[in-house]
Amino acid sequence: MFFLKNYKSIIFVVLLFLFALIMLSYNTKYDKGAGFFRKIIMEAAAPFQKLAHFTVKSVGNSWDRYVFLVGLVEENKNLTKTISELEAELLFYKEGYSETERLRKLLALKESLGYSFIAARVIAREQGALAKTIIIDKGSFDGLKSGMPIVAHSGLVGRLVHVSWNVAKVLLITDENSNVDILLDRTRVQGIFSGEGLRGGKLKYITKNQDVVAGDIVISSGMGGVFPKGLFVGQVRDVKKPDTELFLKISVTPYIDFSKLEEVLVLTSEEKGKK
Amino acid sequence: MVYCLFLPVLSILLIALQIAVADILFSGRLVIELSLIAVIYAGFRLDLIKGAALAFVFGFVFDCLVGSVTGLFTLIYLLLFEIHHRSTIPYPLILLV
Repeated sequence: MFFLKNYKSIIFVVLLFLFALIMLSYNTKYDKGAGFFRKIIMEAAAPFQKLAHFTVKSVGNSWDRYVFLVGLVEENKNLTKTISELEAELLFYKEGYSETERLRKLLALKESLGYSFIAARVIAREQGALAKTIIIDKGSFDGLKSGMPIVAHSGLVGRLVHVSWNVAKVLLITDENSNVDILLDRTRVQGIFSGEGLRGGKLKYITKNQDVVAGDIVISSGMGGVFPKGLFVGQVRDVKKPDTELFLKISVTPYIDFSKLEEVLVLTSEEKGKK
Repeated sequence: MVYCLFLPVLSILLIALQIAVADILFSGRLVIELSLIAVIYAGFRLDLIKGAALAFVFGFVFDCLVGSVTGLFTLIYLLLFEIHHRSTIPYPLILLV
């Protein structure tokens, strides 16, 4: 009895160890699913587990929402930044694509017309009330001379009027001082296209008895030796027959949109075959 | 006596909380072993009988709720308790215990 009283704590621990060992050995060898005690513990723990789960989940959800919202602001900022960057990049690529398209058209024109061209970039526009000119980035050093015709996208742009060493000024066909000898594509009626500034242009010296209707295509006739034949000049917008005049009043919309002109071709020589 | 009555309830509560916290906050990737902390604390602070009983009950409840083989965590917890309990006893007395 003295022994038991003196070493009761040690005996208690040893018994617990033995019990645990026996339990482990037994369950390792004869594990038959949930035992009786295990079931009791599980049943007893179920309400606490539910409560703990609910509580922790509620706290967790609140925390998650808070963190999520904080992250959302940051994410929103990042996404906005990314969108801006991507938009800038997209704009850059679109610009490259449209430039390629324009240059491709110019190249196609260059090959189809069979003339020698010098490609130039528009660097300035002078769209004043009296003057309709553009400045291009090529000059006499590149072989440009005054009077050379300028084309773009199969359409007539104008002609060089002032040529410097590295830049040149182009008088557009819409300028009041510009006159181009033209043909109406459908009826082959000849006339003169004269610039009218913002209103585009008009056809002069076409008599009233000629067949001209709105929508007729106007092309360069090649006469006068300045512009080659067959370049698009514009389209007839309106035809009027004034009683007191000899000629028709014909308004023309230019083929080229001069406000969007970025690259042009300068005709530097006659047709390659003729040269 | 009160200790013996409250110990199972406390152990169930603690382990249920431990499981819930580990499951929800860390999606089961990180487990905070509250029961283990309690056992180690018992090893340092409680006397042998109370501490051993705590380790046994905690281990058993943990086995029942989490463990696959009943008895494994009971034994581990008892061992851990014993190790920590012995570390608190001055070296010459260990030989006597």
